[in-house]
Amino acid sequence: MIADDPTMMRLMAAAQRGDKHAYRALLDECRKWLLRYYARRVPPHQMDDLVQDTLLSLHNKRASYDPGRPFLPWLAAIARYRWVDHLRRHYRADETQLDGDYPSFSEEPGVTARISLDHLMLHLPPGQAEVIALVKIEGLSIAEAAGKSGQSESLVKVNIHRGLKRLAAMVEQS
Amino acid sequence: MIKTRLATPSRERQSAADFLDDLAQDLQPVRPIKPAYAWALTALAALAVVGLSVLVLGARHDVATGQPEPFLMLANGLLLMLALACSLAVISMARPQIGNSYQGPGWALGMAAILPASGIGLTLLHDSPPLGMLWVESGLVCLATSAALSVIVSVPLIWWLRRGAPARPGLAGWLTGLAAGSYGVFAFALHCSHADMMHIGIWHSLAVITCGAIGRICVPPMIRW
Repeated sequence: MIADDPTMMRLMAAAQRGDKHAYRALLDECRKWLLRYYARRVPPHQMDDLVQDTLLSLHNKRASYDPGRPFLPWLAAIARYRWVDHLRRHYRADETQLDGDYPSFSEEPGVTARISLDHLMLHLPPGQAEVIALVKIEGLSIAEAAGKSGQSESLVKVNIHRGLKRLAAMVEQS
Repeated sequence: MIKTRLATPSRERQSAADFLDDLAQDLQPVRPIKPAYAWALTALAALAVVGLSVLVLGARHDVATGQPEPFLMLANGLLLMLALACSLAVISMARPQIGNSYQGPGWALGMAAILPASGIGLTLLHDSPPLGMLWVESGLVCLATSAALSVIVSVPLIWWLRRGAPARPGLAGWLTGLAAGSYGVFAFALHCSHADMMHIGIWHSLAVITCGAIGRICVPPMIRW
């Protein structure tokens, strides 16, 4: 059974004040709610990733919740946004995916990009740099990267998210 | 096989629990975003744009003497309503809610559409050459200057959207462009030497729509999250 809206409003208001216990309880309730929300919207194998993405968005955008208003319509708006974004990325990836290997005329741009990237990665904590390299550069799955790095799958996702955010900030600054 | 079946859900449960624990550990207190900040900054930017137009470019004679032409007041009143309606929608979009409706800008846009409709109608009905269309040079100056002024007002609106969680980036882009464009044209009209139906109906309206289209193209990539 999922908590009612007034309970979630109270938990979220407490979370905005920094109450970690209330936030943990709220995240549990949100996860249950999201699993139900996405059940008919995405294939089962994509569900876990989408729920975690949505919870990360909730975490990052928690200041946009107005404690005087109902909680579930806010959560539903975030869930819907993440779902649409997920569909867009999914179909775009399908459209742009190439079937075979194609010859490259020059390796120079790739090498230069790799050198710049390696330089930027030096500024990241080792845990974040490692999983970004494994997943985003070498193309391993989250599960494979977790096995190779010794981090849990959820930590791999969190580290990739934080690392990419920090890289983006560094690129913007430079 | 049975072992695997039992092991998989428990591993997933553990993984999800870890993830939630990580998020909870990462929690820092936050202040809910306050629309009053956005309103204050937008109002300041709008005042700055009006000040720039009147003080730097110079006010029209009738505006400077405190006796603006009635049609200019009517047209600028409609633009101000459009600007306020779009600003209200943009500012509320940063705090998403399923069930929010943004009908205000539609009605305001409908009211403001009287201006281009009248301008085009008059131009087509006149036997004489379409004067509004002939002032292309001054019209383009109006368009470009208004768009440049509108950039100033778009800054606090985009900043606000980036702080929040706009769930409809495309619509937010349109409305940001329309709001900023309306403020920009409002301000530039206080300087513009033309205050007739054809010029305002065609060129000033075109400037607002152009800013809306620019907003639709440029704003969404800046506010996606």
